[in-house]
Amino acid sequence: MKDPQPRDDKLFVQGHTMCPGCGVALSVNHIMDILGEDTVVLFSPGCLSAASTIEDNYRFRVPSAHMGLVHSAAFAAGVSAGLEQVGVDDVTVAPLAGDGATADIGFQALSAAAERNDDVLYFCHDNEAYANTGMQGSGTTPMGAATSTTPAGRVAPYGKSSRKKDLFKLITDHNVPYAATATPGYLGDFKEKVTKAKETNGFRFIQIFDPCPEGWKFDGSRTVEISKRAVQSGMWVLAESEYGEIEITRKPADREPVDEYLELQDRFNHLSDAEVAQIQAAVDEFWDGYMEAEV
Amino acid sequence: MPHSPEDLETIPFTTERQSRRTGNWRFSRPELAEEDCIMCELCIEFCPDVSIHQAESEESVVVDYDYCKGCGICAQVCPTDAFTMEDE
Amino acid sequence: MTAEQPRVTPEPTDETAAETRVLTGNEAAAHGAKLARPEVVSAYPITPQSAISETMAGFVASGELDAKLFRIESEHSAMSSLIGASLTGARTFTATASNGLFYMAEMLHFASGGRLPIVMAVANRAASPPWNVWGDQSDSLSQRDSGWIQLYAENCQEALDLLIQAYRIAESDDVMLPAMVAFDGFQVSHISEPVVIPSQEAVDDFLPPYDPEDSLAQSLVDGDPKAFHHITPPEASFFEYKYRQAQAGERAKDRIEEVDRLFGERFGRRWGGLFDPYRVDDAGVVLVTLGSLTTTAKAVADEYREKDLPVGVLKLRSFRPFPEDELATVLEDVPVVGVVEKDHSFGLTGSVYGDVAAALTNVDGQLTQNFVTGLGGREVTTEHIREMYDALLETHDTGCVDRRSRWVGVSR
Repeated sequence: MKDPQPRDDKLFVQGHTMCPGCGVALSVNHIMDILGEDTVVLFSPGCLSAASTIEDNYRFRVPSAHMGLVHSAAFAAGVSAGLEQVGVDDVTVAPLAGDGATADIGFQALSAAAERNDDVLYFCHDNEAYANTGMQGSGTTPMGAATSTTPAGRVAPYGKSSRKKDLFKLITDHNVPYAATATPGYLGDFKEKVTKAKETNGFRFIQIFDPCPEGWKFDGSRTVEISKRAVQSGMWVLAESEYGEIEITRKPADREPVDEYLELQDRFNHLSDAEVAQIQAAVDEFWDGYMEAEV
Repeated sequence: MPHSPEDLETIPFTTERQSRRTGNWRFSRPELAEEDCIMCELCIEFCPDVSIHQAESEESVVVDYDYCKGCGICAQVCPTDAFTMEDE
Repeated sequence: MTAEQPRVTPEPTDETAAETRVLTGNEAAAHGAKLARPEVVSAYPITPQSAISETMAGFVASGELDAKLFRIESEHSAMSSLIGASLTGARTFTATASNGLFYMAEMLHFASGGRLPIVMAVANRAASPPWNVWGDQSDSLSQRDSGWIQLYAENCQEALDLLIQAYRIAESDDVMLPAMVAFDGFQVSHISEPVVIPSQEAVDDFLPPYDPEDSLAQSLVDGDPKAFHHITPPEASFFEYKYRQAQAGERAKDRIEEVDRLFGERFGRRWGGLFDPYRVDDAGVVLVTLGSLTTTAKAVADEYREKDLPVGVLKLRSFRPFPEDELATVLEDVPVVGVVEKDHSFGLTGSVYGDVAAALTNVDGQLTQNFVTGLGGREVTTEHIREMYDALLETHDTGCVDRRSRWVGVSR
């Protein structure tokens, strides 16, 4: 076995403490490759910041700041405005926020920054729960999933009862220059979208489906597989929008039945056949909506 | 008006080997059969820990065992099954 | 600081090439902020400060102020966006009151802990419910533990002057803490007074551009990637970082005194630094005041002095840092000290009283009393001040305080 060569070209490097097989780590690796060194990364409290920006273990080769939970979009907008005012141009300001920070507590700031078209490239790492604090349910937890605050039990056997908040659609409706969904299982699509976003100005939003082995309860070696199966079953749509006009970037020819996707993760293992059928119906409706919305 | 750097707490990036060598997390390790490697680099692309690199020879990949956590994604995505996950 | 400062009437000097205009307190604050040349402004409307946001927006739209102005959607986001901007090395400004200040409370700690010299105007307003938009000091006083410098203005001129001074104090090398300039909602924010507006040239000379050694911008330009405000576990340097922050807070006292003096030299107006004693030297009884109430108190003090009653007023200007030692020194020969404030902390006593009483504990035989008044914008008249002085004079004669806290002006 030959000695490994350290990669001087990497802006996100080994030694972070994300879980083995973490989808977020996989995504961030590629995001940083594309964004390059003229980037300011902004961390939201969560797995990524805990794992890569702790006092003796900073794993990014770009300047960054640690934000609070409530305000990613507002904080980022301020950084962007400040850089412009002090005369440092052509820098991508990239908040890396989780789904809880984006869909729930930070939604006000997100919506306003989108409406104002603040010059920010907002990444939402959607692992469908508040992962770092113990997998509590968030607005993007899918229907039927068990989380620590939507556990499957005797009285409430279903897990989360409401549908997943469609952040991509919501931000698209703010008429932003660019919005997209992505997932690391489809890297070509992923890289194209990050590149497109980087080269656009104004408010850009990318929601990334990042499988979470610990939280969703599957073996970390299957992260890429789960990422792909989500798209193939229609549970996740790969799409993008410019100024409100949606285009689906990958249409599965025949959507796989959702139960094949659900079976892969123990967070769904409490579901009855009837409940799975409800989820299938919801996914069908979700896709119908996207087909209609597509220009 | 500049101020003393020690007042504003920042940490620099460093490439020095940190004490947190995540390689000691492993329960299993990916062993590569070099002759089966076709340099498609899917394992490099899909490694969440930036722990697989091109070997100096450029004829195969090589794993950085100081940091590899043994998640097994490389073995899953390799099209020629060049990786075997062995017990650590 | 024991000597009494001479009162200086505001007059333009040739050197400052100033103009005099009739301005409201809000407008004066906005002019002060504008002259400091903030680069990013982010403020949300709230009574009684909305006019500050509007005036700043007008300055930007007309080109008088070259700044990025956010039409921000909440006070929490206002402070958040300024934290982001300040981290890049930009000078920043916002304004708020009451509920808005409370909404951004989380971010107040972020700004001070982050050592970011953000400056904010607060048009002091009551805390609701019951719903009340009028002036009292509950808002800023209740945030006394947020790590912000707090300076209180008595009138429109002082509000303008303090806004300029605040930047110089906050941005000092050895301070680097955020500062709020507070003035009474309606009683100052909405009243009109002739105000001297210094020239931009004079202010530029007094206040150089903000140029911190460490910032996101500098990190980018130097190609030296740094992480700001990263996670710092218990055995890492969090405790040390906080110690340095605390030390900076102590050093702010010297800066406040120094900047007041330098401002006086440059612009011809001194307001007194940490506090402004009025007829305290030979007083038997002193009333400690905060904000516009001071004017009323001084009028009554003069009236009582005409009757040979030995009363004085100590106008507290810096509530944070609190000048414990300095206060104890200037009041050490005063047998009876009253504290009047427009807030209450918990139960019957106010925030300011607690700090004053603690500062004076080592003065033998001294008696103190708290007066809570004017909540929710209730007018505080000369009659109310007389009631306070009478109570203090009685205490002076009898040697005992009838009760720790009196609520003056409330119907029972």
